[in-house]
Amino acid sequence: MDCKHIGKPMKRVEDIRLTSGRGTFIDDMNPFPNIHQAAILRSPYPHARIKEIRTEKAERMPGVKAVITGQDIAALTNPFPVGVTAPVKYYSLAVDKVRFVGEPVAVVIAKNRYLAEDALEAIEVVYEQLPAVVDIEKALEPDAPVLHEAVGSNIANHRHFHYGNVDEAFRQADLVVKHTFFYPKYSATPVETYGVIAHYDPSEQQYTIWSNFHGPFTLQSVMAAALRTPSNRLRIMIPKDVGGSYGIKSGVYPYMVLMAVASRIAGVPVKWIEDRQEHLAASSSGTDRVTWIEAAVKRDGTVTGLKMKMVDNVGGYVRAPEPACLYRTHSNTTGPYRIRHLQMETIAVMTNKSPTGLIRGYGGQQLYFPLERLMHMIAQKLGMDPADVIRKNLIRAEEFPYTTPSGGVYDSGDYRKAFDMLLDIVNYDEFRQKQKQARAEGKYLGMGLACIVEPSGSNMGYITIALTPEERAKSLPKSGCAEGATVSIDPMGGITVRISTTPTGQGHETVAAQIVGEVLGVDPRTVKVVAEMDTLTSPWSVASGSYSSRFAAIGSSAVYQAAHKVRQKLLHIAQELLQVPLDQLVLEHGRIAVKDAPGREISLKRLIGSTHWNPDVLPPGMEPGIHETAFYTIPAAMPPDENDQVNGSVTYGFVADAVTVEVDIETGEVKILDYTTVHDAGKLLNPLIVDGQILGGLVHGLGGAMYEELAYDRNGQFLSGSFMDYLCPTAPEIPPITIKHLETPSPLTPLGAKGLGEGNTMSAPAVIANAVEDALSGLGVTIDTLPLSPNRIWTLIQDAKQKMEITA
Amino acid sequence: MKPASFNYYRPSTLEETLQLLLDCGDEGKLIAGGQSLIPILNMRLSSLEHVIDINGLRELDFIRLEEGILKIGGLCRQRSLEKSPTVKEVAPLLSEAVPFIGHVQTRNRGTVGGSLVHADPTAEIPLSLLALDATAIIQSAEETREVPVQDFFITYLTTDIAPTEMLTEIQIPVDTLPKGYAFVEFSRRHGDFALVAAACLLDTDEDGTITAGRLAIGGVDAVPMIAQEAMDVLLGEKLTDALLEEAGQIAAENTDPEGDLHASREYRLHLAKVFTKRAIRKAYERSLQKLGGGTQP
Amino acid sequence: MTGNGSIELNGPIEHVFHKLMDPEVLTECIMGCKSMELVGERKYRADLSVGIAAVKGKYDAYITVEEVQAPHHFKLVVHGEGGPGYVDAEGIIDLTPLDESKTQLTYTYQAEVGGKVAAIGQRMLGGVAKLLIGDFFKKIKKNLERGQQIA
Repeated sequence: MDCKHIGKPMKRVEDIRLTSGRGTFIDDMNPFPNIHQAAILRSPYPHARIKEIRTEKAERMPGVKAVITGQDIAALTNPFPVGVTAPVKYYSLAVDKVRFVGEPVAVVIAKNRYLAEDALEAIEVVYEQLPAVVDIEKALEPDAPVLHEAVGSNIANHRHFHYGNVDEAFRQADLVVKHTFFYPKYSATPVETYGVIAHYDPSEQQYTIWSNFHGPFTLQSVMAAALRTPSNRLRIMIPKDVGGSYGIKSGVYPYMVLMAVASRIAGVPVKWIEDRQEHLAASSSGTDRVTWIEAAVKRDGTVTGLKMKMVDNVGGYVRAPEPACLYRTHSNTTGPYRIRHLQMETIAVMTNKSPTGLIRGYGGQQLYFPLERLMHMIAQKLGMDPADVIRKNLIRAEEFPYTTPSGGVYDSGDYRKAFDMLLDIVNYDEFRQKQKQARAEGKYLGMGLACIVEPSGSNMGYITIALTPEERAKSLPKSGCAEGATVSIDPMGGITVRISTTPTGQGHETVAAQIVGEVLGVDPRTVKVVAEMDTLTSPWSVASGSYSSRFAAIGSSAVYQAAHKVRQKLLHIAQELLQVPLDQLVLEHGRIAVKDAPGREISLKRLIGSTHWNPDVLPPGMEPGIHETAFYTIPAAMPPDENDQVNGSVTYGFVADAVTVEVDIETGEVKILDYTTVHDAGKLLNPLIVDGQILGGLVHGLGGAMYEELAYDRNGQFLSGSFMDYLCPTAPEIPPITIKHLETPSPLTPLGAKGLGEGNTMSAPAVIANAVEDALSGLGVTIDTLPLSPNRIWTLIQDAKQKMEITA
Repeated sequence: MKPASFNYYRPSTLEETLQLLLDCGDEGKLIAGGQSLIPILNMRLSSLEHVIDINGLRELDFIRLEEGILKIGGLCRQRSLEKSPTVKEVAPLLSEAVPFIGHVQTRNRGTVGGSLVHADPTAEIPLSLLALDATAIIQSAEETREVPVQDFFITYLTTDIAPTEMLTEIQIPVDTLPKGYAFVEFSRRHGDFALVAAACLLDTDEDGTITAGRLAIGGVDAVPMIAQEAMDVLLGEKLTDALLEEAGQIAAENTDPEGDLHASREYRLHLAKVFTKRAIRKAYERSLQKLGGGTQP
Repeated sequence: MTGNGSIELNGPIEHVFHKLMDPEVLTECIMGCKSMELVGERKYRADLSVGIAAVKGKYDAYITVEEVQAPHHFKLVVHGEGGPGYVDAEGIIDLTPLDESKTQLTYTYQAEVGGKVAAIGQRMLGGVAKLLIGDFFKKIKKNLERGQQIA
């Protein structure tokens, strides 16, 4: 398709307002009069019973309108529904127990935040401390402190999966390679924190909540159920500017419910803007995970089978959409490799840490760290080069569409080509020489490789794989990835697009305008895209929102379809007026003309005008006006079958990374010399936006590899409560990065686009770990835990030295 | 993250400030750059009744060289110190240390006096001034006194300054400063608090024998410390790898670091040794260079 | 956080022990303590102001004296809650007579700090805890010396 606008590096329409201080973020908004501010009292204990809360002193303080506690919440709301059978009760305020440091215990509503925080200090809570547990393995032990008595243990979800014939594969193996890997808990720390403005109108029994929430809008049902309100009495509105999320703002929904109830009780609209301390302690995060992984390997490097046990720490409460953290990557568990036999055991465990949720990469980084590290270890054991082991196992171009043992259907790709491109760019063979030389000079250089499959456009059905086939049979199956969009044109020809993809900085307004401009033959800059979301008026469905990189694959497709409906309508009107067959008409330059018949044309303005001003000329049966909505889903998104096979995403991209590092063995410090990534996300809709997103995901992955961790001591005390101690990579930490693209279009989406932006978040931790281990080869160091702080690396080197001295 | 309410004053003269300090006593504190105090107030880790804003006291923002003494006003911004050609000329240790402090934006606000009085155990300015054997001029409404920086630090965030007193000036005798200098630091990211930092000044004679010097280490105790024993081992000797190792070892043994999230006690002890060595070596090479001999650092 | 220390005190062991049990002495020596009121058997309630330099917070505290084995051994348990968080500290104190006028006090402590202070101040917590606990015993020593001067 030779496009005028799609695929072009058009500058973003959002940037002018964002760079001149004119964005409208949640804190800029004042949609109601008499808004009061909320401050939240939070538990300082990781695990305790709440014996008593005394709020009288606080209620009498200046400017205080109301003080809300768990008893109020339990009276007016139901626990949040969640997709597991374990009877966990999660409310927006702690009711009888607190289960993590930072858990909300009470809310003060006051004239301003200063007064509200003053009143927090006057609330007296009597706690009875309980023993806490934060370690994944400890939480599984029979005598571990139990967080939810009704559940009886700390296991929120537990499943077994078996595909192919794993036992046979392991019997036939020439070699079995196994290891245990530890992945840390960290966040994505968007610059803008959570914000909620809630208003309850008793005259209409209507909850209206503004928030920088971004879906998935399955959570609208969860909120409505919690609020015990009909869904059309819960109006959720999202501002058009959200200061980043990377999945984290999906977790604002408990606070939305909290403030909604607070508003109801206090009788005034309530605004809550989260501060950074709150955000680090109690917003949302990715899970920490322990993975036991084993591979059945042939002498030539072929991996024939995998056994994996993955235990995710979902924090104090398992809450929607968890335990999807374990299942998001279910369909692509075997990554880009042709591994036919797969056994998995998945466990979601609850401990006294903050509850988890969506995050960029969502389960991908936790999956690929063990998998790509293991491929590297296999190479070491066989005395092969890691590049050869990878290449041996990569799915070949002619095997697409490729069905994985767990039911994933990879739509397109040329993994070998991308990988070879990568090795060529980084001069792989030359590097080994350089490395030898450097070691002779006492310098420790290393190169790491990683290849991953980046799933996008999640299929709603995948979450139900948390239930057994029998449990699934008890309710309606779930499938699809529906998204809606509306394209309308007003009487004067102004084109408006409404999307429900709730962008958080990805530039949806720009790409949507490019698509509509392309389809309707107009300058994209004349197209107005409305990114604000309103559940009472936007075209949305359960899968709406921005997550799983779905805009490029699905959101854009909905816009495309809606624009096409408009295009078809206009062509039909033109056909009626010009009396020529449809295939003789072209739409471009603001008019519809007859091919090869100069002068025979009608301007778009006239066509549009006639639908409003003179519907008499319209073809019989055609509705006046121009207002087309399309809902788009991909048939590949089906519910899981009775064999627990599911295609969890509709499109699958590919990322191949190579990174070189130098390790200072005196301090353990890792310096990244350069990072190269080859990226295949199908057809790229806007190359400018694409590279920005890849860079962001990459640096986030770097953060996970080297710096970021939400740290708790073993008693459950939260230690990284500010940016002094929660370390995000900043500009000086970013290495030289080279991005190269390969496009194998998806046959499934109208534009051939796949999602992107999460890939390097998933691959960077693995590739950097591989590089560090490569740099330290010969020293007896095995990297299986992140982040790679200098302290950790140094300690590993010392321990290995000691071990070698003992055995010598 | 909103502070509790407090009374705010903005005096326009030093006299006014000192009187306010006397009146407010224990419940008053000065704010200059605010880079440490504002977060503390916002996070309600401190409740002060009176905050006295001294940003109007321009007369305290100066860098002067007078008769062999470098005089730095308490309100001198860290960024001014960083860019000052005078400082680069007479006390280059400071010029090397200051860029490690936070980021340009914070250095535009943060003051030299503020950093010294805040006395974070890992801070660059207290450590450098200790190595430079500086003197703090402390004033109150009742008296002015001089305190050698060596005696100024008591413990974490605590110095020999009473709530009614104010640091107005720092003086560094620069004529006799050793010519070789080095400031080194190890932190997780650019601008972070140091895990360990070391400052070294060294003089050598023509054949490379160390004739004088000062060595100070930060991040290894509640306050920055002078590593006298390690320095003593170096005096009168030429620097060899073995001597460097010995000095580093002794310096580390004299520290008593705590472990925290970013560095265990063992790791800090190790870093103390590594960075002491790096500081000594760099200062030595610079000293030789100044004399016209030796290799480039 | 754990730690230990020892300090030489002026006074015979019974006298020292008696002083350590005295709520007035404790009030003087426990950091930022204005007063202690008896609320149960060897259990006191106090308002403490704990911190270092400007970073100070008010804590509503309960102080209990347990495992009393006069005059050699006892345990001091402090639990304080305040805006900045909470403090849970336990100190085991053992006294040994050195001679008729001097007593050796050795202590081991276990302290846990939680809430905001732990989340933000973890960099200095270990060191500051060690310092404050050491300060308590230094104050005890001073208190005893003063008492002797008066006597």
